[in-house]
Formats: sequence, C-alpha cells, structure tokens
Amino acid sequence: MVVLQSSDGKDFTVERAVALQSVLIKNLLEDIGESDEAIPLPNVAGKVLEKIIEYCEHHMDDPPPIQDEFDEIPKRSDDIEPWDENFIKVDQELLFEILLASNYMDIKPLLELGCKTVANMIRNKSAEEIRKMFNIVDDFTEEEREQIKKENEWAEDH
Amino acid sequence: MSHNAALDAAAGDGGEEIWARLSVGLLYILEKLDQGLDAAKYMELYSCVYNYCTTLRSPISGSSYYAAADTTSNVHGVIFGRRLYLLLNAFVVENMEKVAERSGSFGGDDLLAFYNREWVRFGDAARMIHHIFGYLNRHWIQREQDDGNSVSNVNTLMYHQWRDSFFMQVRGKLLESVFNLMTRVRDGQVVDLTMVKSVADSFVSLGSDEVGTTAKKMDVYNTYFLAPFVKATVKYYAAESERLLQDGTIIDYIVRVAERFKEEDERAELYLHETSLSEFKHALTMTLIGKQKTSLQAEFKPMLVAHEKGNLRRLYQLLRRLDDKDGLEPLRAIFSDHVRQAGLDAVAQINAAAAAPAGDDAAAAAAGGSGGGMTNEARMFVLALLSVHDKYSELLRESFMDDPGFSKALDHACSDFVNVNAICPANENKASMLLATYCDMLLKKGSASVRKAGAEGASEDDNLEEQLSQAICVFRYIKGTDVFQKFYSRFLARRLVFEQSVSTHGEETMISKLKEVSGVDFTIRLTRMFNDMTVSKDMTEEFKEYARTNNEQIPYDFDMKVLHTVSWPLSAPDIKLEVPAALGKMCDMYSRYYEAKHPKHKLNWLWPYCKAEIKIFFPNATGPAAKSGYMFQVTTYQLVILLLFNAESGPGTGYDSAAGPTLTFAQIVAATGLGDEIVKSELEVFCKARMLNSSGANSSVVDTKGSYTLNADFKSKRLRINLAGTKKPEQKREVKETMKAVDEDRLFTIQAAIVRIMKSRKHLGHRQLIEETINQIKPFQAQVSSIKQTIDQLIDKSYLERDSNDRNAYNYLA
Repeated sequence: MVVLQSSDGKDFTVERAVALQSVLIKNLLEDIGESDEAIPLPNVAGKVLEKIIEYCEHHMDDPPPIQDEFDEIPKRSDDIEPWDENFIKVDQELLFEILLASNYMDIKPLLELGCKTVANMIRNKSAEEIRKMFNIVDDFTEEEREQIKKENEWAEDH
Repeated sequence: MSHNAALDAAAGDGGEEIWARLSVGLLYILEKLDQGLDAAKYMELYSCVYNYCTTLRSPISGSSYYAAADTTSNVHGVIFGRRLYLLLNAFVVENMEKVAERSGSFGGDDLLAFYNREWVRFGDAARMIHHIFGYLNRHWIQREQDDGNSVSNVNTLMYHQWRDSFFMQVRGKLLESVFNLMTRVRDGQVVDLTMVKSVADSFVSLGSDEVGTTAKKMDVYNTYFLAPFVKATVKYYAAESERLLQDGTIIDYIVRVAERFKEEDERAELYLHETSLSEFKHALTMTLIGKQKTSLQAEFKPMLVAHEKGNLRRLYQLLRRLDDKDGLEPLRAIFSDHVRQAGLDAVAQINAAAAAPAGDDAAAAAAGGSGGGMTNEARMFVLALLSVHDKYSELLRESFMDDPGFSKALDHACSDFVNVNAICPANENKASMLLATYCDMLLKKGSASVRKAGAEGASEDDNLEEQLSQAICVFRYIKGTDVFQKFYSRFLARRLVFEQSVSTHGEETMISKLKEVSGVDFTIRLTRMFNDMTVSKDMTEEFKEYARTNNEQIPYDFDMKVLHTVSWPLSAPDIKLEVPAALGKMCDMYSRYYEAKHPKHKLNWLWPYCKAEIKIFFPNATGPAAKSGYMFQVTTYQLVILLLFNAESGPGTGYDSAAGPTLTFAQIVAATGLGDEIVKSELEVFCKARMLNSSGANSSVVDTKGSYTLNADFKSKRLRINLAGTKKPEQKREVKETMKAVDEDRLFTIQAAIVRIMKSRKHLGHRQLIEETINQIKPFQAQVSSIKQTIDQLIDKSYLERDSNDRNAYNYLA
C-alpha cells in the first residue's frame, strides 16, 4: 500500500497499482525505494486528490495504452467511455483542478480525458460564447483581432 | 492552493528563491545520495521544477500575449523553461569540473577505482534528476524538440556534461590506467576486470544522443576507447608472437595461441561492447595468425598423417578466424587429397591380400564357398570404404566441427576413391555391383556371418538397420547408380521369389532409404515387386476358395506368384518343358482362374524360379524313413526328372528294371524337354547325393550315353534334404547379363535424351549436342563414344540429319 498526502494534510492509503498510474509516483518509488512514509503532494488539494484516486482505482486494471510514438493515431474527443463521462461531470472549477493535478502527477489518460471534455465544451461555440462560458475578458486590440481573422480564413465555412 | 502561496511569496518573479532551494537538493543528490532521500524532499524538488515552469509571472508577459509565429506555446513556459534549463546546465558543468579536480590526485588503479565509483554514483543521480525535472522534460524540452530545436532531455544533458567537463579531461590518464591493468592481466595477474568494463561502458553511454543512429552513438566509444585499446592489444601480442616463435616449435605456438584466444575472447565478452567484438577479434587474429599463416598451414599435413585430433582441432579453430579463402581453403584441398589416398590405399590392400596365395587362402575360400569370391570381395570392399569414411567423418566431427567446407572435401574424396580404385577400374561401375552384392548378403537368409554381431542388447533388427545405413552411406558416393539398381533389383527378385529375405522389414527399410537418396523413380520398380508379392499371396488364397466352390481338388499345397514382366528382371527360359501331368493340372487350373480374372493378361511360367517339396519312399529304407519317407526340396527341373522315376510314370520308361526304376540319359531328355546341358547338371546333383546310380564305372560321373537307376538303398541321417540350393547361380554369367542390360538401358537413355534435345533445338552443333546430352543424363556419366554411336544410329533411323552446309551440326527431322 502507498500513502498519498494532499496539500491540506489528508492521507489517502491506496493500493500500489493505483498509485503507479501516476508516472511521478512510479518514478519516485523507483528512485528512493518503497517506504511507509506518506508521499506529500503539495500541489494537490484533498478533494481533487480524492477524485483522482477514484479515477485511478477504476482504471487500475486497464491494459497499458497503445504507444503512439509518431503521433499517427488521430486524436478524437468523441470516444469517451460512459464511466469516464460520468466521472468528469463536475463543476468547472473542479474540472480545471483535475486537469492541473493530472498534469502535475503525470497521469496521461486522465489529462487527456480532461482535455477532451474541455474540447467538447467549446465545440460549435463562437468566441463570444466561449468567453462567456469561461469568464474570459476579451483583451485583443483591433489590430490583433484582424490578424487572427485573416489567419483563420481557411477554416471558415466548411 | 500552494501555487498561490508561491506566487505571493515571489518578489520580482520569485525564480531565484525557487532555484536556490532546488540547487541545494540537486547538490545533495549528486554527492550524498547514498545517505538516502525521503519522499517529502523528492516531492519538494519536483514541485520546485513544476512551480518554476507554471507559476512564475514574467515581467514581459501580457505585453504581447499573442505572437504570430507561435500560436501554441505558452510564453510563461517558454521563458521560464529555458531559464531553468540553462541554470541546470551551468550547475552540472560546475559540478563535473569539481569531480575532474578531485580526480587529479589519483592515478593507475586508484584512478580507475575513483572513476568507477563516481560513474556508478553519477548514474543513479542522473536518473533521479531526470525524474525530478520530469515536468521540464515533458513540456518545455518536449516542445523544443517538437519544433526541431536541438535541446536534449535532462538525462542526456547530464551525460554530455560528464563527458565534456570531466571525462574528456581525464581520458588520457584513464586509458593509460586501463592499458596498464590489461598488461598485468595478460601477464597472468589476477585483477578486477569490472573496472575495465565500467570505463568501457561509460564510453558507450557518453555517446548517447536522443537523435542519431546507433553508429553515431558509438562514436565516442569507438574513437576514444576501442581504437587505442586495440592498438595496445596488438602491440602486446605482436611482441609475444615474436618471442614464442623464437623460443618454441610451431606446435607450441598453436597450443599457446589457442589458449590466448580463449582467454581474450572470454575477457572481451566481459568488458567490450558487443558491436566492437568483431573488430577487436579481427585485429587479434591478424596479429597472432594472419602473419604466421604459412607456417601454421604447413603443419596441417603432418598432423593429418599422424592423426593428431587435438592439434588438428586447435589448428582448425585458429585458421577459421581468418578469411575462409586464405585460412581454411588450402587445408581442405590437402584434406581431400589425403582422404582420397587413404581410401585408395585401403582398397589396394584388400586387393593385394585377395591376390596373395597366403596360408589363410583356404579359409577364405571355405568361407566364401564356391563362387563366394565375389561376395567376399564385396564385403571386404565395402568394409574398407566404410572404415576410411568413418575414420575421417569422425575427424570431421571432432576436429573440424562439421565444417561444411571440410565436409564437402570429404565427400569429394570419397566419391573419387569409391568409384575408381585398385578393384574398380574406371568406367566399369564395379563399385555399384559390389555394393549391390553386399546389400544382398545383408538381406539374404543364410549369410548371418556377414551380418555382424552388434552391441550387446541391440536387437538383430537394429544391427541390420545400422548396416543398411552404412551401405547407404557408400551408396551416396556411387556413380552409375543405374548399375546398382539393376543388380539390386535382380538380387531382390531372387530373394523375394525364393523367399530368402531375412526380414520384410529390412527390405522395406532399405528401399525407403534408397528412395530418400535417389527419389521415387529410382525405387518404383522395387516397390512394385513388393506389391506383386502381396497381391499374389491374396490371390493364392482366393484361388483356393475358387477351387473349393468349383468342386475342384487341390491335391497338394500350392503357392503361386504372379509377377509383372515390366517390374521384374526375370525372363522365361527358351526351353519347352514337358510339364508332368500332376503339375500341369494345377497350372491349368490356376491359369483358368487367373485368366477369368484378368482376361487381358498372359501368364508365362518361370520354371527356373519355382521350387517344390516332394516326399520319396525308397524301397529299402529303414527306420522312420521307411514309414514317412524322405522330404526333398527341389527345383522344378529336378522335380520333373524325379517324377519320371515314380511308379506311376508307368511302363515304357524303364521302370521294370530288376535293380529298380532305370532310365537312359536320352529317355530323360526326351521325356522332360530339357536340353542335354540341364539334364546333365541335374543328374550330377542326384548322383552326388546318391539318389541315383549311374551305369558307368564311377556311379557319380554323368555320361550322356549311360542310364540311371533309383538307388533303392538310399540312406541319409536327415529326413529333410535340400537339393534346390546346392547349385549357385552362375555369377559371372549373371554379371555379364546384367551389365549388358545396363548398357542397353543406357543407350536407350542417351537416345531419348538426344531426341528430346534435338526436338526442342531443331538445329545444334556437334559439341553442344554432346555437352547437353551429358548434362541431361543423371544416374550415370554418359561416354562420348556412346553418344557418337547413338547419333549415328539416329541418323540411320532418320531422326536426325547432318546439316548439308555444316558437317559439324545436326538437324532434327520431324
């Protein structure tokens, strides 16, 4: 068993196979050896870590992902499994926390799940709608706006 | 969230503070990792890297969030990633310089030990630091690499600095220490070779680049380690080689050098990189063998003559290291010549022994029996071939490691001396005949003395099989297998018809072995002969059933074999035999049965190949013979003659003589239809056995003018007497006949080949036609004279014509 400690001091005891899905934890255990002491994750809060562990527990028996060394398999965002889809139905703030944490802990499948979810959120939406959804202030100058439009002309009306 | 805290704490951009904490940790990892590192510290350092890349706010950020050329990267990451990378690089350089400085006080083995220790420690540290910088590797470095910028990952960065800032400074001293150590090892000292290995390994690792091929990776190792290492080795052994050759014999040299190679090979495996083994070994080979090649090769022949297996093996293994053409090829030619001579000598020896009128000549003659000369010769011949073949096959296996080239040389030599030698003149195919004779001896009943007793516990079948395999071994070398086939099928026919096979299994084994070597075409007739035997057996049963249903009496046991003329090398005799009534009745009955079954087949009776058993009651017999008579095993001809003396043969045959049934020679010839010659030779058998008395002064001399009386007083200790086997087939005549048949077949084969070639070519020059004909014919070497003769015949028969414009060419006439 491995003990993971969140930034707010909560201990989570999980099976080794669960923890190993984080490449960070995997490298750490290889580098310094196994021990009973808790592994602190100063960048991950308890409620986020709990969510991440839930994900890792569900996926602990997954086969290793197919190596895509040359980036040849096209990325899709419509192949999310039902369990994952349900899992990631969280409020926006938690969604971004999960994204950051999976990047920090180096859990590639979870990072991808988060990215796909965000991609699906902005699909078929105008820039204005997206700004509204994520509460983004439009700080482009008129000049910049023109240039963007020019560069993206090819993508219009398809 | 802690990153908020980190942001707040940052004055300016806060990077200095994070780097300060990080560099303390890195120094600890580089220098004190053996004291352990806890998870909290590890995570702190990892988080430092993460926070440095993700949370610092750049003073220039926001001023130009969007840059046209860079739509993907986040500017924070780019700036801080590069800054962190440069900081790390400088830090590693500084530390490697410190290591270089520390190494300055060491030399020799101490330096190797120091280097070794630092290398191991650095390896662990580099791996961990690479992981601690995981975020930098995954993001900034990855992106730079994706953009095609030459930025290496953290692990590679560290090794590059080890190489550039430490290793390159001490390289010379390090190699000097390695060579020094190697000299001591080669002089016989026990030294820790793992130190050499770690130096070599570090040279390999130092070449590592994320981009680039294996060859490029090996550059550092090849240039800075392997080349000087090989040079030092060559220098050492060139000196040793010179010393050895001055002080000792070539044999001593071979033994010593063989040991040296063994040692160096083992050591090289231990510390050299696998890609460089062949280069190292090649250099060593050229130093120790290449230069001394000629003197080494000169030792081969004497070793071969003395049959020194161990030295031959050493010499072989040494020269094998050279290029095949230079090293072993000359030896193979010598080997082939030597084996050929050994084979010729062995055959010449038995030939001389057979010719010499020595004391055991009588014994040899007795063992062979009448006409046994050839069977004995066959046995001696085959055994002599095998002994030479086995001797050198063993050498091939034990000293030359079944080297394919030597194996070929052996085969070449064997096929030379097997076919032409003191016993077998060129172009006569006598070896084929002798081998077929030998096989017949193995497979025929009553020649148990030829079949050797095998190892204890081995069954007779196993022994037979082993001997058959040996015969096949000789067969593989035989030229003119068509001759072998002819003789073999003759002998087989006789074994089958006379039921003389020692075992059906043995026969089948031999045929399948022949098939393996020469193909189905070669054995198809032999197989068909077996078929006929099986079918005949069934038909005999069927015939008996047929007789029963037709209410016909079969007065005696009767066994019939129907043989297809095309498959069997047997022919019906010219004689018109007067078949006795008792025999004729059964023959007619069988003919009726068979012709009803196969209306289109015609049966010819092969009288000379039949046998019978008859019981004879001699008038004055006493004891058990009086009651049950004598049982004689006889040939058909003998049967026919004996039946004339039977009471039932009736008046007019001389039966009424007072002394017992008496017939004149002329009466016998007339009554049987057999010619004088056959009657004479059969009567000789009867007189010799004292069954008949001749009217002449000497009762056992057969006179064509005399008369013959059944010996009423015939006595024999045995009640069963075999007369059929007393006459051996006339071997000389048989050999002549068979060879004649072979020659006819060969002419036919040549004819067919020429017609085939001309049919497709239409027009061909004389020389080409002869060449192509020779190439097309497989089982024997066609003689040019035979081909010329055949061409003339074909011209006579108007298959070909000489070209009217070119006398040296032929046209095909459709």
